[in-house]
Amino acid sequence: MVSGADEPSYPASLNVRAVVAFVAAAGLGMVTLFALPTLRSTGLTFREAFLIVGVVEFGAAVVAGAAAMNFYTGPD
Amino acid sequence: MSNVALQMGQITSRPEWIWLALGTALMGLGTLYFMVRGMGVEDPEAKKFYAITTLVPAIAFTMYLSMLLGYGVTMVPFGGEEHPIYWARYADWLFTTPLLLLDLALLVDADRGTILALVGADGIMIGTGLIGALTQVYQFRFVWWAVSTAAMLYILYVLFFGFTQKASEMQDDVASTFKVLRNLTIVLWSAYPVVWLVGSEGVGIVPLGVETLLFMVLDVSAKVGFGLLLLRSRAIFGETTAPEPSAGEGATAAGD
Repeated sequence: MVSGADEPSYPASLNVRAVVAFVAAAGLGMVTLFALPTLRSTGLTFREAFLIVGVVEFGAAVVAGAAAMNFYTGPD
Repeated sequence: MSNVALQMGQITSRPEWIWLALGTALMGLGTLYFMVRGMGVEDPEAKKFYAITTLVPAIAFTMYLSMLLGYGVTMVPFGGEEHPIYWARYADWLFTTPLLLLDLALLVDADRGTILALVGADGIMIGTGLIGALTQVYQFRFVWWAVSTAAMLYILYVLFFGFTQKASEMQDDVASTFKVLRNLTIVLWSAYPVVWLVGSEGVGIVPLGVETLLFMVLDVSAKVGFGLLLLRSRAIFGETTAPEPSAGEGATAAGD
């Protein structure tokens, strides 16, 4: 099933930056869901405030996904 | 005490509060279960799936909590009346649906271009759905619904044709797990635009309480149910550390 038995196998090393990015994106995603009243209190309309919330949520998801894909570095 | 009672009264005065509370509880339990289950996992590939799949109900838990507490709702005038619209759903879906697609993409080892296309289509799907929900011109709401549904159909097309082909070229574990998750995703995601259409955001045939129940069932199934099926499968593990076959699969495990 697994070929290349001559190749040495190295354990994949944890990418700490990716883990930090993942946790930060997760936290941002959670906090942002409660941020709309605060944004509106600054004078923004509902649509302006939600645009910020939506962009942050989507961006946080992209960061979380990319971070998860890079949790480990090194040879497979 | 009276302030707390007032706030509790504001929560329970809405008929749909019970479904929001149940959704909050189920997403929270799902998150905890996945976290506990993932604690002993060492395999790097499996850890990716656990991280992504645990984050999905965690975000959904926060979303349901925000809706339950009244943060996630706004009033939108259309059709001569003001309607409560739970905007928090869309914020949640902007975060969680790309991650669910990423789970499927990682399972079949999809290339980055395809992943980006799916995530982009997903953003369009949710974004246009939200625009439809907030549009005040009644007829235009359905135009945006149609655009959103078209984006969803593109995503499901890629899952059914593109990813299925890739899964069929991989190990049996991956192929069978993918097919189950693909079918679950297609069935559940297809129901969302139907509920939107017949619910308070669309023609209003279904009252808000029933609509909330339906969305809650779909959300829990598509997030917690999806995660339960994915994380119990050997397909998420790397080649060298897959656990022993589960019952009924052992006959082919010895290899040739």
